[in-house]
Amino acid sequence: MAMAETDDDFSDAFRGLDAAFAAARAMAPAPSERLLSRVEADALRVAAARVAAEREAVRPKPAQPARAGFWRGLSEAIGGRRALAGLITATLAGVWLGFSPPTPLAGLTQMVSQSVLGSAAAVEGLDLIPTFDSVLNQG
Amino acid sequence: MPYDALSEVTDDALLVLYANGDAEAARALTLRLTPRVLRLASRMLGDAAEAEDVAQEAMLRLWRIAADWRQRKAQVATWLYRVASNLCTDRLRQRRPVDLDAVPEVEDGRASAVEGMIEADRARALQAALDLLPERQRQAVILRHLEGLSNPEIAAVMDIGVEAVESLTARGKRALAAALAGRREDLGYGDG
Repeated sequence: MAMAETDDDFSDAFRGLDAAFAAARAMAPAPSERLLSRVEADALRVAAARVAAEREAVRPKPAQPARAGFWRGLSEAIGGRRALAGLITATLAGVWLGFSPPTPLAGLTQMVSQSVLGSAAAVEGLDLIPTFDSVLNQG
Repeated sequence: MPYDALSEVTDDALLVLYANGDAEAARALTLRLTPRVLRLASRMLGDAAEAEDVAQEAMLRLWRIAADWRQRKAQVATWLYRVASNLCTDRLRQRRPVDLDAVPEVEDGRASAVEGMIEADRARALQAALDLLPERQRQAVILRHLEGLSNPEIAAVMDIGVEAVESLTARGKRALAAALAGRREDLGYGDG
C-alpha cells in the first residue's frame, strides 16, 4: 500500500536522522586562521582602546581650563561678551579723559573749582593729600 | 599567564583576565569560542562567508562587554550563542523566503559509491533540510543535536522555558525526518 510505504520512508528517515546529525557534527566547519587572526586582533584593539580611555579619565586636568573658567564665569556674570566689551571701553575712555582732558572740559573744571573753592588759583594749589604738619597747624 | 596554563580556566575567568589586559586570555578565548559560534552561524545561515562575519561580530561584542562582565550572571558561552543567534536571525529576515526548488538535491548515483561521500551527502542533505525549518526550530535543533547543549542551556540561550525547547526540537526533528524521507536510498539508509 502506498500509505504503508510512505510511513516506512518516514520511519527510516527518522531513524537515520541521528546518523545525519553525526555526519554533520563530523563535518563541522572549522574557523580559518584568517578568521582567528581577525578575532584576536579585534580583542587586542578593544583592549588597547579601553586602556587609553582609562588613562585619559585619570589624567589630572591642566590649570589653564580653570582660569578660563573664572574669566568665562566673570563674563557671564557681567552680561556676556558684549557687556564686558562695553565695560572695558568705558574704563579706557575714563582713563584717557583723566590724562588728556579736552579743552572745553578744562574750562568746565575751572568753573566748578571756582564756585567750590572761590579762587582760580586754588585749583592748582589744592592739596588733596595734606601732610601731617599741615593737619597739626590747622589744629 | 602562559597559554598552556589557561586550558583549565573557565570562560568567565578568562574573560576577567582579558579585561585586565591579559593577551593570552584573549587568544585562549578566541580559540575556544570562535569555533562554536562559527558552527552555529554556519548551520543557521548555510553560508560560510556570512557565518564568518557573524562569528567575528559576536566575538567583537564579547570583547566590548568584557570589562563589565562581573555584573552579569549568564555563562559566557550562553551569552555568545544568544548574540550569534540574534545576528543570524537579523540576517535571515533580510533574505528572501527560501525557494524550495533551490534547495540542493543529493547527487544521485555517486552518493552510495564512497562512504566518505555518503557522509558528506548526509551532512549536506541535513543542512538543506535545516534551511527549510522555521528559525526557532532550526536554532533549537542545532543547539541540541549539533552543538550538544542541554535543554536548560538552550532555554537560557533562547530565553524560553524548557518545555518550549522540547516542543521546538520535537517539531524540528519531525520536519527534518519528513524532508529526508524521500532520500533514504541516496543517503545510505536503504538497508536499515
